Amino acid sequence: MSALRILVPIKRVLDYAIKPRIAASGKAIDLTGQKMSLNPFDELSIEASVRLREEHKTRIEDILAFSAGPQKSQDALRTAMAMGADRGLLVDTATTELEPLAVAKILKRVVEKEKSNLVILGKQSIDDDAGQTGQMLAGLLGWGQATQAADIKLEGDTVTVVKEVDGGTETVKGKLPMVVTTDLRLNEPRYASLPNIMKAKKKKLEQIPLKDYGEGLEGRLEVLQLVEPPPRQGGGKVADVSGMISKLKELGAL
Amino acid sequence: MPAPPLRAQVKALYKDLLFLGRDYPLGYAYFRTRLHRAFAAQSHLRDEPAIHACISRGEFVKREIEALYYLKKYRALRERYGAPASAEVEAMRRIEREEEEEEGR
Repeated sequence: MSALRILVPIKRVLDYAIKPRIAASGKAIDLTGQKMSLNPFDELSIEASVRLREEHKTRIEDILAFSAGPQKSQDALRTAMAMGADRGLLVDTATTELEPLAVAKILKRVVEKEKSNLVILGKQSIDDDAGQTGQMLAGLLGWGQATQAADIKLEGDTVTVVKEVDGGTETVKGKLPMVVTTDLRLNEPRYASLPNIMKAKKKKLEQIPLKDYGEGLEGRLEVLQLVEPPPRQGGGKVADVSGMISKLKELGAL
Repeated sequence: MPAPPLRAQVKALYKDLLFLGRDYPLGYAYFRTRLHRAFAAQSHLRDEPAIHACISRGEFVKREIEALYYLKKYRALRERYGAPASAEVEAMRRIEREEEEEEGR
């Protein structure tokens, strides 16, 4: 049984409760002065790794929270460490927006450097909703992957994952090393309480500039346009049955 | 004059709750005034068991608020992303979970 070194990549995103505003350019979301928080799907992955530790104790050697983003992503990493991650690693991207492939490439190098053998990450971030990073990382590493996990069980070097699929679940089994992406019903993430956040400030947070991760990280896609969904058309009232029939005829339903 | 007994504990509880209040749906101002009022209303207590009872009530409220936040987030996400499992599947899963818990005991 090998010791487990878990890597939990996370992302700082616009808080789920806030309605995004499109910036004046029409090509981005206006984030200035908005409340940002940890991506909810990543909370699930941190909780999952912390629960693995609670279950397997000393076998879990290390839980590393990783984020690639602007300086402020530190807050998200602090939250992750307050929830139970041991250390943090921030790749400071300054103003560059990374695409999932670039993140996966960075993660691959982090995995190699840190000798991680289990990567647990959220299935998607609630800002871009790409849902690609985990899959691409598994591809780059040549590891097995289990996406949309609703349950993770570890026995020896075997990981059994219950996956959310259309209309039910699918159970898959794989050997470590492995990539797992988490779905909503996996667990109930604990709240990062004030005392724990204070304690997390003492945990180590390493920062590395993006340029240390080399070439090939530039974006390949360009956002052409962002559009809000059309406002809902209000319903109308009809006075009586004949009114309804004439309305239906008008709409071509009869 | 020595600090009143349990003062540190009460203060820690108050701070924790204030911290929780920052995410309160009705706003921090709403939460803070009410929290302050609730604590002030019990400030006359000198009797240790009575203070302990109040602290445990505070801890209970803390758990409740955390659960509220979790549920709110969970529901919002399920609404946005979820293949919302039908009521039937949800019920089945709940029963399964409960059975497992029963066995676990």
